[in-house]
Amino acid sequence: MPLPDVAPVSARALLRGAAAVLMPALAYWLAARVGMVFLIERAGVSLLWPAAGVALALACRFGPLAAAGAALGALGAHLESGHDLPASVAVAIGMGLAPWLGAELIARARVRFALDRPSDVLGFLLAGALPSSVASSLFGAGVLWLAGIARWPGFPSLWWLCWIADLMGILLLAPALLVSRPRGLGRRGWLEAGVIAVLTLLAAVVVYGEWLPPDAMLGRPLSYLIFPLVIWAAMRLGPALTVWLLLFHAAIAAGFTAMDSGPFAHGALSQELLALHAHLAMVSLTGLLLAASIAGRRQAEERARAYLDELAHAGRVSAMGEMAAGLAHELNQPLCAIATYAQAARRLAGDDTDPTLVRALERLDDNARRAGGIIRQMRNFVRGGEPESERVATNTLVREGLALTAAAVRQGGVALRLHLDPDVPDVRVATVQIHQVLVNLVRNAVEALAAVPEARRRLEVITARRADARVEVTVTDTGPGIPARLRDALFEPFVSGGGEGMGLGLSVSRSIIRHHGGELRFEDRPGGGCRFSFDLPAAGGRESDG
Amino acid sequence: MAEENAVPTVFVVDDDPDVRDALAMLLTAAGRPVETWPSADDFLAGCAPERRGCLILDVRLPGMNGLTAQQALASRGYTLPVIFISGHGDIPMAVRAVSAGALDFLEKPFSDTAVLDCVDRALAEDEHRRGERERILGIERRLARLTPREREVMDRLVEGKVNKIVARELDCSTRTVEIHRARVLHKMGVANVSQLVRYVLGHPDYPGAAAPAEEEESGG
Repeated sequence: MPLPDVAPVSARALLRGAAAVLMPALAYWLAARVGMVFLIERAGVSLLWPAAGVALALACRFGPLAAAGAALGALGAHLESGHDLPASVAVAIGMGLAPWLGAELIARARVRFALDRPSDVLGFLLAGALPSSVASSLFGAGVLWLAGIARWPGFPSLWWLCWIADLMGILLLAPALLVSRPRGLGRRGWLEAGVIAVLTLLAAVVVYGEWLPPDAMLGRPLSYLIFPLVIWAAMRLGPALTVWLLLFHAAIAAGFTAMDSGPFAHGALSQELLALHAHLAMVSLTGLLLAASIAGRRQAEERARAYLDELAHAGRVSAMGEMAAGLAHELNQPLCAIATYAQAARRLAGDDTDPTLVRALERLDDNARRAGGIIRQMRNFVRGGEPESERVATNTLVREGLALTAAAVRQGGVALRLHLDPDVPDVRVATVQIHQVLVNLVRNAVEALAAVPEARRRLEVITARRADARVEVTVTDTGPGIPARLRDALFEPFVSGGGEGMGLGLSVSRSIIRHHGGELRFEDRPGGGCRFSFDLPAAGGRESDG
Repeated sequence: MAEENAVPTVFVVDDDPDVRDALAMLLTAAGRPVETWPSADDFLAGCAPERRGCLILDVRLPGMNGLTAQQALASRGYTLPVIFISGHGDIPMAVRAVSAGALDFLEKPFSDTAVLDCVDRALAEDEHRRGERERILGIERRLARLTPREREVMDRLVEGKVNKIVARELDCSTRTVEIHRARVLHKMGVANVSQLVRYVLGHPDYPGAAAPAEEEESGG
């Protein structure tokens, strides 16, 4: 009997579906009530239509059912304001279609509502706000015009008013409703947000509430006070709080203006509100784009810092691996000798020897081999942490590696020249590790170059395709070269040229390159300096771009 | 040299004197004659290729490493079975060593039973390889004693042809073929043709019927 089981579930689903439609309907209806404040009686249209923004935001967040809800809300609002049923239904269809269209386009444009990239802000404006407002205003103005509700001289200007109203409703409300919650702000951040909010409230009330002497003519000039406040928020608090601040300010400004107060009041409502709209639109665009750019750059910086950390970690892991391998070899030899001597002694002792001596020799052997096993495990453990390799364009790899040392190169007063062969094949490598090799080579070079006058500090990095289809990367400096005492042991661990390092850099680098199937070599540069070069096998198959 | 070669010897090549000494002590205690060498170069310079025994070779050696030493040995005619030992015994290196012809791979430190098992297997392998080589050389020596005509007759007999056919092909009398046949069987040390076939085909690349014809032309 499956049917009775299904019935309660579908009832609940039905209820949920009804809520998904009715809640947006209610929201739309409330927003429409707010919009009525800006109604031009004669035209039957409002000059600011927050409901358009609410509908788009709900459609973006909850999908087509919410758009249907918006249509329902619109129907209610229009019937309430005395329009006849056919006109109300026609308008309602438009008010449902417009947010649905905007939401669909926004999803296609892959806009992320963290709004932390300028492309997301532009995507929201061009794919969401613009089409949605055009659609809803065409429907709204069209129906009002055709049904003869609007007593207005011409359709174009009627549509224009409608469009501005919808666009502003979307621009001011939708981002505030959609933007992701602020992250990692901390107590100081919220305190700062509070200060900005209070200052904004003050500025807005002073300007729009006309707390200024009327003959001072300060209203319009002071309305620009909001710019520094928005810029402050954008730079310090991230997109979410900036967007909320913009809405907060706009609400105060629009509210006072509708009550015929403030620098944008006192004329015909339509003209003055349009001027206010232009003002608010500029503030909003500035705030949105600035916040997005700054957040984007901050993220890039964070990523770069995280990568540097990872690189440093990988460096420590490699150094550990190098030490483990060195230790394993050095310890294994004596351990092997101990175990084998014990085994030989056990045999030489023969069967009629003191059993305690035999046992001692056996334990000696066992323990030496146990120590060998521990070393093996340690080495395998260190090896296990190695990153996976991926196919990358060689020149990109080198450029990224050099970007990591750009600061050191600049501070060292070194002139860097790149010769990147455009035909160099791709390689399949653990990117972090090759970056580490490049960083090691460049840091060594920069350290060495400090010993020569600044005019002669040159560093050259070359990529090339070798005749045997391998990739070769060369790092050449014009420093003093490698001292003779280090020459033979250059790649051995713990051999240092007296710099800051432990002397593991070149040893680790050579291990990394060898692990990738290549070799790291050193030669003198003719005319003084060193040349380090490494080769890597080309990744077969298709070339990647970049 | 001949006396020295009578006993199969375990040759140990490792750069660590203690490892060398310990291995020599262990193998001697277990009754296997041992010689030790500090490097592959020393071994190549001091040990003749025909010596019997097996080779224990460290993978990581100064100068010539174990894997290149393996190649150098092969190119200079050493046929000693090789057991690699390594403190850095990782799987890829073991695979490379064994696929390049090494008999076994031991990771340091090892147990005496593992070493002795390996050594015994390697010595048996050496015996076997030498036996095979002896056998093949024997066949070749006997083949070399045949006259070109006898070789022609033998090749046809090995192909399974009867005297009459052979006589027709070689344009001579059946009687002549019978005489050649008796001489072939005698020189090859076998009693009859079926023994001859088994014996001669025991050579891994016994030259077919075409080869002796060419030999005859060039040999006059």
